[in-house]
Amino acid sequence: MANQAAGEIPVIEQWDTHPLDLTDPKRRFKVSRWNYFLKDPATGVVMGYWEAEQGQEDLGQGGDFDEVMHVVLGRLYVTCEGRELVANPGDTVIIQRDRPTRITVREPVRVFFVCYPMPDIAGYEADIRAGRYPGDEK
Amino acid sequence: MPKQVPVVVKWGDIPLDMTSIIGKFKRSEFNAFYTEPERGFVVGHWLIEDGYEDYGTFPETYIFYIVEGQATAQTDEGDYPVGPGDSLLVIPGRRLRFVVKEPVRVLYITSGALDIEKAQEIRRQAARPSDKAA
Repeated sequence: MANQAAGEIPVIEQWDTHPLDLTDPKRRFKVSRWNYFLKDPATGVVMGYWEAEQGQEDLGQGGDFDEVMHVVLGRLYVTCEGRELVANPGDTVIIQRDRPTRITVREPVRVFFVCYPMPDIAGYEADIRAGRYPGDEK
Repeated sequence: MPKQVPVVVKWGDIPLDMTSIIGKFKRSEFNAFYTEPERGFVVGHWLIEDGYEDYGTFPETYIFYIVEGQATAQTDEGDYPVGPGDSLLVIPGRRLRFVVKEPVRVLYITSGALDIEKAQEIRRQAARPSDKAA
């Protein structure tokens, strides 16, 4: 799916408005599926819903974009600067692109997330749909 | 010195130190716990009650993730109720009135905001009791 035209952007997005049709090419979680319900190439903002079970992911490794995760259900265990913090439902996690942050999932979670600024949204999504991890050699 | 960006933010961790200057609300208090001025990207918490704000003429994109409470998005195509777990997408050029009656808690994300630090300072000043009385 390419970037959206304004007319394709819904007014209200609910958890099940769009299928969670993307999965992690690296299989770092027992379950990890998400969607991008808003893709705005003008500002590089991408938003979506993510559902995951057991696993972990290292973020903030100097990539292109920051990520904001809002916990809807379950808990995220967030390790940053030598400390583990727990993000409960209603809490928001900020992952800066150059601040190493490990996200661990120990129980099923639902998360609303925002990535920003993603320089090539369509290319990033195409890589994932092709089973490639963006940035890895093609 | 740049402000330290928190890793995990809980509701109540950071004071709601700003108020609306355009929206017509009985109560409107918000903060910004992550601001990236270069692209006008802001993430924060917003507590609102009884009132409305009109959108569609601003250059920014707003996303309101409803944490608690019920609200309505009134558009030319009809009214859309929004509740906890829903995201309301406010894009430039699409006229929309965001109407709240009961207290609503929102995680908001703004992108493309112009001169965001100045805009935030104006809203901080508006929220200060001494400034309101002046």
